[in-house]
Parts: sequence; C-alpha cells; structure tokens
Amino acid sequence: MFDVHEMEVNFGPQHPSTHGVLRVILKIDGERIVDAKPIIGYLHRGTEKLFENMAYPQCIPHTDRMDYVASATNNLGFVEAVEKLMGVTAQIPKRAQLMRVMLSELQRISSHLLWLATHAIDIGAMTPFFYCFREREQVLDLFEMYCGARLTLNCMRIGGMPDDLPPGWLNDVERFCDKFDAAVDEYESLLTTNRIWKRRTVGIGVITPEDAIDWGITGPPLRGSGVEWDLRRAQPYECYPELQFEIPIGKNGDTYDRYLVRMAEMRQSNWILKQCIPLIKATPEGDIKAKISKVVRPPEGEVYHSIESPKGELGYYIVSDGKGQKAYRCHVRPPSFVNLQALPAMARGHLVSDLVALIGTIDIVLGEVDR
Amino acid sequence: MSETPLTPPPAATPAAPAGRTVDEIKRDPLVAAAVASSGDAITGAKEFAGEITLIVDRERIREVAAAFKAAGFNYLVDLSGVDYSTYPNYTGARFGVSYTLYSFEKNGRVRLKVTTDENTAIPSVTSVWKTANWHERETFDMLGVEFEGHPNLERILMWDGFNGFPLRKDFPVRGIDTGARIYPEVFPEGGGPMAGSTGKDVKDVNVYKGEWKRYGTWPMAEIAARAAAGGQPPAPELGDVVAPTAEPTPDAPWHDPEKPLPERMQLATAGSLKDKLFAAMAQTDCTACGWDCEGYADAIARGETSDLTLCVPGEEETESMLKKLMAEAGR
Repeated sequence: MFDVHEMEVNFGPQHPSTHGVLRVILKIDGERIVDAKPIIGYLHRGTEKLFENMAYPQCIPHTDRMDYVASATNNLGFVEAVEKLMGVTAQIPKRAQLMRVMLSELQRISSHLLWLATHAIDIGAMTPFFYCFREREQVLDLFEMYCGARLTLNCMRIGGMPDDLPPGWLNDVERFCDKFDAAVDEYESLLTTNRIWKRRTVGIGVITPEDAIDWGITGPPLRGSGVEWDLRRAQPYECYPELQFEIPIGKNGDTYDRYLVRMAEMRQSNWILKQCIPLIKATPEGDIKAKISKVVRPPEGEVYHSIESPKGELGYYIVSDGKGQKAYRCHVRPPSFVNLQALPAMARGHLVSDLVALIGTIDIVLGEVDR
Repeated sequence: MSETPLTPPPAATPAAPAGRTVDEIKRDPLVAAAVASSGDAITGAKEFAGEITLIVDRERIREVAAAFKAAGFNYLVDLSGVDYSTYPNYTGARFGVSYTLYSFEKNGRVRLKVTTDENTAIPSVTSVWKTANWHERETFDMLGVEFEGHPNLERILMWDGFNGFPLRKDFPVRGIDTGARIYPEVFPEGGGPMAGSTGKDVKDVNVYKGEWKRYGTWPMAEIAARAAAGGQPPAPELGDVVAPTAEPTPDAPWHDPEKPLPERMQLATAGSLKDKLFAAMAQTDCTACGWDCEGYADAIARGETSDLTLCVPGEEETESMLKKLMAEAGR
C-alpha cells in the first residue's frame, strides 16, 4: 500500500550542518527518517586527474586541498607513498621523522577541535565553539611559524622536510602542550556529563563492530565501535614505534562513544607531542632531508600506502610506469568518502535532527569526499 | 590515562624478500590459505615494495573475494581502476581494477587485480563487502568500467548525464565543454572567456551574439587520435579550428583559409568595403570573435563594432590589414 505519511525532502546541499556541500535526499515519515541517500560530488575538482599530469613534488600542494582542515596528514600520506615507491623510506633522517610526527599530531588536535566545535554547535551547544577555536588558533599559529601557512600547509617534501624548525618553535609547542590537557578538561566539563548533550548523542547512530568493518569505516568511528585498531600501531610509519600512546576505544558504537574517543585522542596526541620534544632536541639541527635525487623518478611499480589521518585511513594508491616524473595513476582512498557511505545505515529510524548529529559524528570534509 | 604502560605494537608482517617466484608468493603465509581455496582463479602473482598483487580471473572475482573474506580479509580497504591505454609496452586489456584487502588477524594487506575492456562488466563484490558499493560507483563514474550485479551503478562524483569518463587517458585535462546547459539563457552553449584574452578588459568576455557553433568545443577526433598514438592530447587553440563553412563560394571566392592574404585581397579588389574586410579575415569561421568571418566584416563595415583586434587566427597580419582598409575608407 502507498503510505501517505512518507515524503521526500532535500537536506542540503546548502544546509549549514552539512559542513560543505553535502546533499541528502531524505525519505521521512513525520520526523522519522525512513531512508537517506547522500548525493556527493559538488566539490569535485578532478584532483586525481591533476596528479597524473604533474610531477610528484607538484602534487603536494594539491593534497592540501583534499582534507583542507588536516593538510599535514594529507601531505604525509602522499610523500610516504612516493618514498615507498622509490624505496627510500628507511633513509629519512630521525629529525625529519619527528617533525612529521609532531606536525601530524598537531594537525590531529586542530582537526578534532574543529570537529568538536562544529559538532557541538550543530547539536545546539554554542559555547564549546569559542573554547575550541581559542586552542585551535594557537595550533594554527604554530603551523604559521613553521611554514607560513595556517591551513594549506604544504609542509612536507619527498625525502624529508622543506625547512628546519624556526628558533623558539619547540618552546612554543611545549607551552601549548602544558596547557592543552587542562583545555580538554574544560571542553569535557561543558559536554561529557551534560544532560542535553547525552540525550542528543547516547544511542544515536549505533554501528556494530562487524558492520563498521563491513562498511570499511576507519578512524574514530571504528574505534568508537570498540575495534582497537589504529594504523599508527598496526602498520607503524615514521617513528611511531618508539612513542608511547594508547588507542582509546568505545563500547557502544554510538555518537557519544565516538565523541569520547576523539576527546581521548586529543589527550593522546598531546602526550605524543610531549614525548617528541626531548627526542627532537637530541637530533642534529639541519638534518632534515634524505640524500636522494632532487628529480623524483620512481621505478616501475605500484604501491598502496596509508596513514592514520584524523578521520581514518587515508591511503594513496600510486601506479608508476617508471618512465617519467609523473604518476601514471594516483588514487586517493579518503576516509571521509568511505565513512560517509554508512550514513543511511546509521540514520534509519532516527529523527531528522539526529541526522545533523550523525553528519557531525562521522566528521566528513567534503573536499576529501569529492576530491 | 597518561600513566598507562606502553602496549607493545604487534609485529607487522615482515617485508618479504624480493625476487620470489609466482609459486613462492602464493605460498606466502599471508595469502596461502585464501589462495588454496580459490583454486585456479588466481592466474598470476607479483610483488613490489613488499606488497603482494594477485592477478585474478575476471569472471571469478566474486568467488575469490568471498574466499579471501572467509580467510580473514574482512576489510576491503580500497577499490580503484587504472586506464592502461597509454602505459608503455602494455598489451593486456585496457582497464585494471585493484582490490586492496586487509586482514585484522594477520595484519597484512593483499591486492587482487583484474583486467577488463570498455564493454565487459566485472562481477560486483558488493555482496561480499558493503563498502564496495561507492568504490565501484566511483570506478564506473571515473573510468566507465561496469560492474555486473551492482545494486545501484550510477554516477557519484560527476552528475547524471555527464558525457565522458574523466580519468580515461583520452579525456582532456582541461575538461570538455559541458555547455552549462542548465541555464541556456544565461550561459549559451560555448560561452565563456575569449580565446587569447588577457582577462583585463570587458571585451575579453564573450557576450552571446547569435549562433555559436564551434567556439569552445574540443576536436575530439584529434584528441583521440593523438592519445592513441601515445602522445599528449593537444591543448586546442581556437585559431586552429576550421569550420566546414570555410569554403570558397561564388560570392566570396576568397573564403578559403588555405589562400595567403595578398591573394585574398587581390580577389576582393573590386568588392565593397565589407568584401575587402571579409577577405582580410583568416577565413576559418572559427567564431572566436563572436561572429563568423563574414559577420565580423559586416559588423565592422556597419559600425556595429570598432574593435579590429578580434580575429585570433589572423593574428597581426589581419589586424594591420583591417586598420589599413579602415584608414583608406576614411573611418
């Protein structure tokens, strides 16, 4: 029988809670979601096509523009994939490795802060936004000190880093780290035991560990479902094996657990940063580049390399024909794209206002979804 | 939380020694069980940078995928395609599709690879892993590889009705003229910036002035021919585009882009000012100026435009001849 109560509405692409241009076609029965269909591609810029037509080092600024709130990890994934293709991974100096780790952990903090600020404001909590942006600003200042840019960093090179650390940078990082744990306490005091916050997040969008793996979900949403899996530990890269950190996991796989996981991850990143500072002080200054040819001309072959970006597994699949300085094909496996796919499964049966919470909890960046 | 002891990282699969034979790779502890249950569907194996790639028979990929999932590879990391049409010394089918799988138990990845051509669909693996759905849609959207048995194989990044597959090697990097057909009254087909414009002047932007047949379209046949020959697709210049209307007629015997300028002017000596101006044009009817050649000459003669610099293919030669003719006519 035709159900007269069901109707179809467009959610987005210009809705403020879609964090970009995501359109979801909702089939609703009153306030309840019967089905959802995400429509993407509004931000498609053909990045993979561009990669095929420029030399490897020229691709790095383009990787910035995929997940534009976490560009350091995008750079890291790309340069590591090319290094793996060239077989020079072992030659990266210790100092460059530590700098990469520090920049990516700072980036993880800034990405999670942006997520928390917008996620909270979507659900209706205005105040955390101001607190989060206070700290995020300091992280962006640290990026600016290092490479001059705040958002699109372009801060890594194939074989090492573009520049040594500026004087005083480590002290500033140290000062930030000392204060940051208290700042996370502050955010948690606003939300973690807040009754409204819990009513809006507990039990919303539950995803079981089996389903999460079947949907290919990675990053905090996977760990929120209770799977203890982090690429920094499972397939370690750079100098992560030498660093201590915990992999926070959730129990119920709902929006609240994913929130807790990300909050704990910020503390873990801060802990990693604190460990890096004495280690990097012990390395010789200026030793930031492997002695490899400046012309990047990898041999024929194909590699897949992935790193743990703030949003999940960020992978690069590069095919080289061994003939030139350009990739024959470079495919990006963006975590947001894959995680977003599970949105309909998570949203069915919930209210339209919960969809806003669900889009926030997946932590998508449309620049990365559409590339 | 920060006082908890360090949990030791599980041992990653040690990098396999290079130069193993196909049989040795198939016996690798990471894949041995899955390969054994797939039987002869796996037709080859190679190794690069410690990564195992298994070549799989296209028709049996779904069966092999299920066997690998049963052997612990329950996470499909990535699925993507490659267009091998310009790959040096490549002889196989045009497209390769790679499936990157991960096993949580063994902490290792393996890549399955199948090949196909434009017309042969690959069995979809959406029934094995749900996550394959969008990956297969993206591969279809970008490369035109079809997946048989996919529940909803439609475009995902490009819009419905988009003509072409952007990641094929014969698709131009600069894109194709999509004509912005959704707003034809505002953006006529082929509208946009002028060819060779500096972008600094109002006249650098096209304003629709009637029929636009060829401006902004891409010489697709030539692009395909060059791509097939292994070269880069040309960046088409509008001046190179010669319209089929660029043929001499009894009224305008000079309307032939092959003829040099002095010969054209010779043919038009007895004509009116408009005819002389017409003969001075490049005769390609490329419409980069906004008209065909006759239309532009007519517009100058009637005073509709006073800009004598719009003929792109005629370059300096046409421009100075137009100035000379206008000076002779006292305008």
